[in-house]
Amino acid sequence: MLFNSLDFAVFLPIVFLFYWFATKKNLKLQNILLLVVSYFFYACWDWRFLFLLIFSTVLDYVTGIKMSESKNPKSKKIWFWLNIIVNLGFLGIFKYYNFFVESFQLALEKIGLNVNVWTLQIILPVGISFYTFHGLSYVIDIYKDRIKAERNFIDYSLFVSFFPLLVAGPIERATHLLPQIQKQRTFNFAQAVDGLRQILWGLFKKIVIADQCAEYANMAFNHSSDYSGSTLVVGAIFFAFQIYGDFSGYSDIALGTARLFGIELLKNFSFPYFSRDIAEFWRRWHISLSTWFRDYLYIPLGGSKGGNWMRIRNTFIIFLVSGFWHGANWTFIVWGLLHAIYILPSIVFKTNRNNLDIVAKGKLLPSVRELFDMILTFVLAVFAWIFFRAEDLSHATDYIHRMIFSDALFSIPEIRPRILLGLLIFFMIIEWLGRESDYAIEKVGIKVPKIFRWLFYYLLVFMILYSAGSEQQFIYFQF
Amino acid sequence: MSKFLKLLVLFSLPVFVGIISLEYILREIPNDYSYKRSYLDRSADDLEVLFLGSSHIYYGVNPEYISYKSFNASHISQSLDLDLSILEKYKNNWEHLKYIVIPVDYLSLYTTLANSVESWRYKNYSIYYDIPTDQVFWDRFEIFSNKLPYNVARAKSFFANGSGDITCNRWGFGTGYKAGLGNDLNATGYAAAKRHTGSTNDRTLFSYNVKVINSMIDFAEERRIKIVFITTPAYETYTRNLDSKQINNTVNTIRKITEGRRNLSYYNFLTDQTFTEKDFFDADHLNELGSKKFTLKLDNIIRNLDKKDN
Repeated sequence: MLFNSLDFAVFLPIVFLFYWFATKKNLKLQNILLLVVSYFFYACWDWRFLFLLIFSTVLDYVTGIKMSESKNPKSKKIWFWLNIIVNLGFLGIFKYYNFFVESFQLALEKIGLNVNVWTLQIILPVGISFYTFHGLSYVIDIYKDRIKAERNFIDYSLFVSFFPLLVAGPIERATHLLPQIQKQRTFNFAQAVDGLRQILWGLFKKIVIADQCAEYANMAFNHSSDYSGSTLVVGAIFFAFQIYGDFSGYSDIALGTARLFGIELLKNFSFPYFSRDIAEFWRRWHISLSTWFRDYLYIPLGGSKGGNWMRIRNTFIIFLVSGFWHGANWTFIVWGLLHAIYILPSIVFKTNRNNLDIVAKGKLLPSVRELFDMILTFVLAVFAWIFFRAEDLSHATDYIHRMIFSDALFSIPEIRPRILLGLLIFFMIIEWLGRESDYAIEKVGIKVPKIFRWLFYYLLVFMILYSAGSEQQFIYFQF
Repeated sequence: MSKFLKLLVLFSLPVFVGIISLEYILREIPNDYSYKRSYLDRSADDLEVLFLGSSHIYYGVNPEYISYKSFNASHISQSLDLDLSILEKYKNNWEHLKYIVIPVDYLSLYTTLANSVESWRYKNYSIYYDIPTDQVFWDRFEIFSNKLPYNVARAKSFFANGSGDITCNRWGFGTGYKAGLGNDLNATGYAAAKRHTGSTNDRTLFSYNVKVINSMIDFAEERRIKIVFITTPAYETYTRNLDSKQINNTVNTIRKITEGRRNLSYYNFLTDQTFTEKDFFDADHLNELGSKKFTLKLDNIIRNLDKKDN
């Protein structure tokens, strides 16, 4: 069941009404209801993988309790590593087995050895990377004595499987979500309205921006040999907006949906294309994943403590792992590597924490310097997105080669969708005006009479309905 | 909570009203399905020859040239199960029906409309024919089966010019494929053959369609109606790109079914050399010229069958 489907448009109000009316504010009933509907939501994709989700949940739940009960550190360590091996083992089998085997075969062929390898015809369970990381953070936090093991199985299962975040995040932390699950939740008018507003904006980003940009990005990437250099540049820019609209749109719908049930999820995006350097970009893009890597990989590796070389090494490790997390393809690894290279100067010169606040805070327009920095960061991000979007490395290098060295880099692009360009300008203006809020339209028009605010929402609804066609899958579901 | 729900209903009301109104308007626009349904409602009892099937018949058979009172009840991508549904819908009619002509083409046994890329057309059978379909609720709406700009343009054109979506003549023949306006026969041949190739390993659809054919035969036998199965003509750029296993299975199956049965006959026009480049709109559809030629051949067959019977 997709967030942008009619099924979800029926599912959500039914669950909402049951949740607030049928459970009579009974926390236990609320949590049971949310867990049941979350499993139903997941089973709508493929009920067989529900067993994998439940197995992963039980594994982490039991490991947590066993580690807490362990009196000697050795048995705690055994439970911990057993859990890590099983969790990563599942991820490895479902997501990376074929990649490793085929890469190994290719490497052997390079030295003249031809071997027949055994690959698996397996479907990647939706959301496996997300719920595995959910569980891992919980187990690591218990191992490091940051939190206590959760004894209530329903509460723990809901923490892993809460339907708004189940298939594509945000990757939650037990310290943030579990206390909310265990606390009495009462209906909050402002929170619910805010949730609906965020869902509306998320749908706009997905259906109006991402899905429309996808058409042109697909044209450029699928037929790159037919287009001029300038068109390929436009294609890459469209993909940059597609992936932003797609993933941040999904996150907005997830956060907004959770708000309807009185739950606040971690913020996942914070206007990344207004970043002035790559370090800032990564503080604003897929925040729940980058902070996960920071807390559970970068810091345990030594973080920034051991001088420049260690910082550089650790930075490269987390970007490579982050790239690999996205999928079993060298394109993602190169994408991660590129970002590691981009961020390198700021690590060496210790300028990576220069831009902590949002750009031009309290001002209407950025300075010329800020504008230049934003454009440069955007260009670097777009260049890296080419690897992310390409089918394989040769496709990516061919795309870049054609884009730069073939003909007509400065010609008028063959792809010129005027309506979409207008929509992108409208989108970026709204994003710019709302950049100091949690999401762009959170406070837009909050001071004007309700009638004007509603007219603006109707405009968004109209644009969503006007652009809606067949339900398009979210890109991050494949990860 | 009640304030929230009230505001939500108030906000959503104009959106719902707009959606329901547009759905109503779209359903009011005359189209091939509503036309053919009302024709059959009126005339099913009087028909002597009924043509069913997909676009190959829709654009390929013009009952105007048939010597008997006949009607083309085919629709684009109409699969065998829907042919049967139309027959069964009028099970109490068909008083004078002597012949049913049903195409068994390269794709017929390996697909159904519900499983094809054209599945959005499926809703037309529940909306306009009142034939129950196993679609999910949303797929039964006009408004959700096309993009809003297209739906709005249809509604606008209906109101402004009174133009509906009927693209067939009074006998149900699709008039859109004019001679001389055709598509590239090479490109369409390859693309259509590829599109029509199913999985010969997966027998599910094949078995289902064979079962449907047997049900049609039983239906016809009970009413002493004869079925003429045909494989429609196609251009060589299409036929040479076909999967040999799929086409052989299809032809052999229908031959085996019809063999030695008096009320059944089968004619294969797939590689009929009398149809030339000029007769095709694209590699697997006849144009107006070709359809006239094809219809006259079918008329000849039906007349001969009729002579034998009398």
